[in-house]
Amino acid sequence: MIQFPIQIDPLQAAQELAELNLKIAQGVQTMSTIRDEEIQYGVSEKHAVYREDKMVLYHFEPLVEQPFEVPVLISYALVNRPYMTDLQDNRSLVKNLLQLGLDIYLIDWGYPGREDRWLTLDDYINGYMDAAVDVVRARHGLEQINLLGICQGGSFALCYTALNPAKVKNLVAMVTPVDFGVEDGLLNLWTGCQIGSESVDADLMVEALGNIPGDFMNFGYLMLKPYQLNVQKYMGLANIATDRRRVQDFLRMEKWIFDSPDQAGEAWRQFIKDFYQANKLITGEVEIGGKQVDLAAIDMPVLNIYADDDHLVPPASSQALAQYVSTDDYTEANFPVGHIGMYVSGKVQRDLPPLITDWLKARK
Amino acid sequence: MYGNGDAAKMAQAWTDAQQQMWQGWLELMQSTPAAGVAQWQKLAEQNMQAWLDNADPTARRAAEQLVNSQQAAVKFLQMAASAWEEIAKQMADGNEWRAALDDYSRRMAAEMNAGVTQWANMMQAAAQAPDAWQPYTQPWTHLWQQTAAQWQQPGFAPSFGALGDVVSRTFDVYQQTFGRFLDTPPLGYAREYEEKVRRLTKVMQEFAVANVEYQAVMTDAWVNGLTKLMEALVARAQAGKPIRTFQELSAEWADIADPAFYEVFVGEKYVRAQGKLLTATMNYRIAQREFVEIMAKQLDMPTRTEVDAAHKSIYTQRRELRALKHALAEANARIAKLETALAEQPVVAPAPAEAVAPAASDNGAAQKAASKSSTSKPAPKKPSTRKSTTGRSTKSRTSKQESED
Repeated sequence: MIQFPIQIDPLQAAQELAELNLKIAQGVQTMSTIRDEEIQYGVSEKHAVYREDKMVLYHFEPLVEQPFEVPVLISYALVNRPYMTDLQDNRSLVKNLLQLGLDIYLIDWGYPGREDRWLTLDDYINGYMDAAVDVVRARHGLEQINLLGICQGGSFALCYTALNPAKVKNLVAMVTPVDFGVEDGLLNLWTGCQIGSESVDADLMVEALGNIPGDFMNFGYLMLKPYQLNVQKYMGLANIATDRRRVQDFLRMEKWIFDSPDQAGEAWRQFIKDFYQANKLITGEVEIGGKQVDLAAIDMPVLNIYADDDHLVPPASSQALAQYVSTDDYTEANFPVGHIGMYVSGKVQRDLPPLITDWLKARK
Repeated sequence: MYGNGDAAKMAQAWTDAQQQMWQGWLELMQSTPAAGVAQWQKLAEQNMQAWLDNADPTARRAAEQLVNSQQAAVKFLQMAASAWEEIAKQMADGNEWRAALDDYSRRMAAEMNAGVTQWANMMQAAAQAPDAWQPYTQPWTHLWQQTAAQWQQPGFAPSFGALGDVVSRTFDVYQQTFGRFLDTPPLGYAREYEEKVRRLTKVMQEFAVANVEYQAVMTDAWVNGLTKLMEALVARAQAGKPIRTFQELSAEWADIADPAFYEVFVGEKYVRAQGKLLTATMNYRIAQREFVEIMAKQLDMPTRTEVDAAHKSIYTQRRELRALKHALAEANARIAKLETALAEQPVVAPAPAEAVAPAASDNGAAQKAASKSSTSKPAPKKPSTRKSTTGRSTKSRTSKQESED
């Protein structure tokens, strides 16, 4: 006879429960007193230097007297807000890069409204992004600048660089999807890398919704790891419930996760159909504003950074870049974290900024 | 506002409420755990409400999730205990544990799918026999006739009062028909044209079928999770390492849950079911919009389609404006270059009238040159070295081109 595997002593269980409930009650009480003003983000001083429609180009105040002469422009994804790169004092990629002497600009794509439903990838890449690059070039009197693309913003950076290689000195791609056909990525599968529009009928969705709601996108992300992201994470919150600072950190992250802009319908349609479903980025068939994106046109130095445990962008998807660019100077770096860990892990924040900075400075 | 002492009181109240539930659970008795959960949840909600009334949105959401997550975990663990009890009984009767587990999983899936299958069959049958839906479409047709008759009366002027009346009656009809079956958003106000009703009926059928099919696949995911948990429990039992705390049990499930779901989520069956549900939901939304737009037009209100068209027109003009600005900037840059070039030209003595033409020609050439200069790309840069700096976690890789070399 097999031994009964659950042998929880009722008295101990009662004590456990009492402790857990106390933590939860204290946590709820703590949270009821935390105001939104306490969980602000963005620690580095910045100024808007260019605006077009809802896009804003920010310049961060340098933290050294003589910043590195070639500035870095950060292109973030459309699906979340870019302040993840400057979340809080001890979790800020931007701040760390500034401290190491880089001069940083950041594109904030804004929150598309229903009137932006017709914005295309051409508008984002050849319009807003190109304008931002030109502004930075003009401010520094340079022909070329450094581009740092993150996640979907990395895919945009690849497209932009392939179309405008003369304007980009060095390209850094961070957790960037390149091969959307990699099937061990649940997101790739659900979005249609296998069965196309039978997974997601992008045309129908845009017809029905206009813009794709941020909440819809978020629901999809939560379903990728339903227990961890909907239950386990909050059970863990009970353990830090009495530590106001840690609860604030938790809430700051929550705020970022659920601060998801709607996606401009036409741009989303093209991204889903051409990138996820037809995987055209690696076949050179993506067309942005009537021009074909050929990754082989990327002949400047490339630093490709990916996360080993990334459940949104599988490492293989990022690593594929090596096969398609024509540069002779390609560097790959990986960190043993997940997608979000790239911004918030203490170890990554210790090692990643110097890696990027040293790599760029060696290529001035 | 509660004080610190209240947190302890609240926690004690929750604990007392949970105590009964857990006692039954731990002893694997025929208790009614669901009632226990409900009681505790009610208490938690009441207490939370008092605290969070003035909380900001981010904190409120997280606090609610904090309590909900415990509830979700407790429910699942109850299910797991119940499953184990079933399996243990079969094992006590001399059955092998794996067979007992398989048998339990099969029965659980069948039970969970029973309602789903019944629904799917009913919906599919209904879709194939539109007449069967007459009882559901009839009230809508009646509402349309009633509304149309009212609106066609001389002197009838659409107003918000009249609209409210239609909304109210529409909702009543909805509740009498589809609302009984589906937990879908309200239809909103509508002037009922039969073809739109039929279209709406059809997409609602498709939505219902897709929904139950999706739920069926989700059942597979849950059964898979539970099966994996039972396997883990058996392994612990065989190794003589029973679970001794609630946290251990919770951690065991946390390790198992998402990978078990993943095994189902990654399959084509799940992907297709999810896609079908998404498509059905979108079709429903479009049909709903078409339906509402008929009403909006009657009331001389702008429709979504019209607003979209207006937005498209504005967008097109924005693009044209941007292109014009770029063209203007480029033209200005060329002019500036030309002016600079002209200013730098050596001053020459005034030429006779017939010599003016060549000078103008020079200007043209300068303009072309300036134009070319402003649009040409910089000379290709020297390729960078292949060697790269590497950190501890970096590695240099040769590109495809390099390896082909």
